[in-house]
Amino acid sequence: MSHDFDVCVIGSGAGGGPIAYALAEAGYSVVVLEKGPWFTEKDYYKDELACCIRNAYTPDLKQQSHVVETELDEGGWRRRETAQDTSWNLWNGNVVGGSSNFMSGFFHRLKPVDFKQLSTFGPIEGANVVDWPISYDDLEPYYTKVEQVVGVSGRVVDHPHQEPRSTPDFPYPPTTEHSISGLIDQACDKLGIHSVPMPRAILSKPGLGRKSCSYSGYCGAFGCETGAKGSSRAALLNHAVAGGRCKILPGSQVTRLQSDSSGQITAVEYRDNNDVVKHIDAAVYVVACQAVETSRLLLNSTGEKHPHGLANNNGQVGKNLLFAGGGAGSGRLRYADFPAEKRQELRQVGPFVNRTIHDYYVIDDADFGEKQKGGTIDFVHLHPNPISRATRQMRGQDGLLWGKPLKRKLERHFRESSYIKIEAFCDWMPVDDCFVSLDTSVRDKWDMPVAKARLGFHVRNLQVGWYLASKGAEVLKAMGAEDVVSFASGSPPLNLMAGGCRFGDDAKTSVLNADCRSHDVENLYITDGSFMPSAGSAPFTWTIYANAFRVADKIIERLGGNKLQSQSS
Amino acid sequence: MDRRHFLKITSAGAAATAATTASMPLFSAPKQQTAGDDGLSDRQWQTLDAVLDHLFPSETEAPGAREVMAVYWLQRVLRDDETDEVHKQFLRAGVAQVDETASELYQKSFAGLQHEQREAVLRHMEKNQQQGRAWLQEMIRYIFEALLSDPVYGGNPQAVGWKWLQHTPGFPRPPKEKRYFLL
Repeated sequence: MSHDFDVCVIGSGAGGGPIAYALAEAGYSVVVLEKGPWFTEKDYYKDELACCIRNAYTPDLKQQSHVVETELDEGGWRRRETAQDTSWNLWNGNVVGGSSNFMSGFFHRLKPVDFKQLSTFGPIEGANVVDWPISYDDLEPYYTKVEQVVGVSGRVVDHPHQEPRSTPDFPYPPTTEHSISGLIDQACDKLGIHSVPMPRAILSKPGLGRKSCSYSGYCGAFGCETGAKGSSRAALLNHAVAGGRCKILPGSQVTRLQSDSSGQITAVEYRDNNDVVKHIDAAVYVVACQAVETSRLLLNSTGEKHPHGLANNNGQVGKNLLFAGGGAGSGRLRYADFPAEKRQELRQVGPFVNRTIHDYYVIDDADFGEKQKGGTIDFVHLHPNPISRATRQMRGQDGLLWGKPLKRKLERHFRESSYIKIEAFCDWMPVDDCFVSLDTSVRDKWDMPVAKARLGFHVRNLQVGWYLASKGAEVLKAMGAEDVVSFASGSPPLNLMAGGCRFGDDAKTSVLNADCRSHDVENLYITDGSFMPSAGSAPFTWTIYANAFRVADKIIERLGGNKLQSQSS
Repeated sequence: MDRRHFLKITSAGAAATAATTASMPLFSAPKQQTAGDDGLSDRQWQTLDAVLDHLFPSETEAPGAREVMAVYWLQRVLRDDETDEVHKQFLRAGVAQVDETASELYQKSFAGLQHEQREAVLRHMEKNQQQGRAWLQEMIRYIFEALLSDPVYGGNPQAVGWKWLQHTPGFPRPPKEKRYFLL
């Protein structure tokens, strides 16, 4: 049977990039549909208005919005339409390469325990905790592949929670470190905990056809102008396109996956740059639009065999939506508290902090309760964006600050101190009250129902988040930081989402099988973070990349193996 | 509004403005540069200028709202086709509210008040009026945009805001042809 392409990938971020890269490399024709524009290194500048205030990389919320529901203290749900309440924006980067263009690239592997949480710790009331249908050993080769193909820099050190590795160390040495890193190491030594270098998806030296990091001090939230950041675009799609077998169609909004009387997908319906309705067909379809939009696309794609949405015959699509749970904190390093030569170092902008603590990945602390899953504590610079930093200074003791008092406060904030932040990651418990459905009233500019995300959370997120954040705060205090605060929140970080189409062995409780192929639809795979049945306690990107490479191998096998290798042998 | 007249009313406290005013662009792409009506009267622009000056006063050692062109920043926001109409109405309603409150408390326009009276009017808005606090917060936020965004957008002239706060900007910085609305 002839198709337009062997593989059609919907979404060009961390879930789509590895599929395009690996399938094209194995000799198959690939088309990638991306709703956003194709920006390159020549379009990315350190421009706070562009990235973070006027939101140049995400759709206009008046035309394409979401609905979110958050739990009220008195019970019930508060509904917000993001077209009006723009602070709940669920878009994270709709450009070629997706939101991986704007990540910080704090890269963590999951650990073996993440794959068997239910059998290790037992059930948690009110949470849908499960074991994964694959083990760490199944994913390990692909974590390694990501280190080499995307480019991960770091340094392996011996510590009690180091996950098993098939190679001794990272292919790229750590990125240049800030003076603060040494202060963290000393403080951790004092406290008897392990300060671990944090791997980054950032090239510390030129390689893979890309330049090294230029240490501008502005990384997360910004597109990378050197190509050092391992975005799906810079690290994977550029190579796939250069090889001649991968075509990217930017400005292509997929509205539906059409299916036939057997339930299989027959074509993708999309709007091109000029809003013209078009279709593409392929042997295999891969959806990777980021969790909320992936579930929405399936729910919008009804068909004869899929009256409730594609791959949704057991009502599982959209369920168990996940975010990065956890806590946060910060502290202030006052220049005046340090000797003159140290002050200069602390003022330096550019080098990274790159420290993380894994000692509490499993919390075995009688004061806290039974042995349970904990998480990671990352140390990072305060984000440098000056407008947002200034904006946080306008709140005074009894009202808004303005006039000269506000100006003096800005001077103190910007001139007198460096700030260090804690980002603590715990598992976002999968719960019935965190899911994606279609909204019944709001539609986008193509008249398709928008996604509604109910954002309920489990109290365990708060407990573990507080625990981890307060451990991080102890480190900040031991460093000599002032104004140390730490806290946890039930509010999800909207840029770190997963779940909604969990994989599993039982079709009644999962959308995908262990290969991330739909139980219901034989030619549909999902490779963004949607497959994750539990969140793991670290940012998702490395796991999404690794899993997508794993699924790519399954698809290559299904299509008949590596075409180029079989020719040459 | 008459731009020249407007320049006259604001130039008193703003030595730094003259050099940069001529090239102040709109935020939107050129095709959308309709120089549309911003919906405020000359008098209301004087009010807004006085409010911004009060919220972020000029000092010898530190730039104020006037030095960073904050009132022009607001003018561009109000003339920009891309700005949400509801938001524009909110911004304009706040300006009207300032003069109404000034007239209620002191039977004068805001621009005609002494420093302490101006403070009282704005605190009254903050504490007692629905939307008053939100509007003032938004005014301060826009002053910060004018103070700390890249000079290529027309605020922060000669990086005066960055220099004052000893802030190191990231690089590369956006050139004119790569401002966000041209991407």
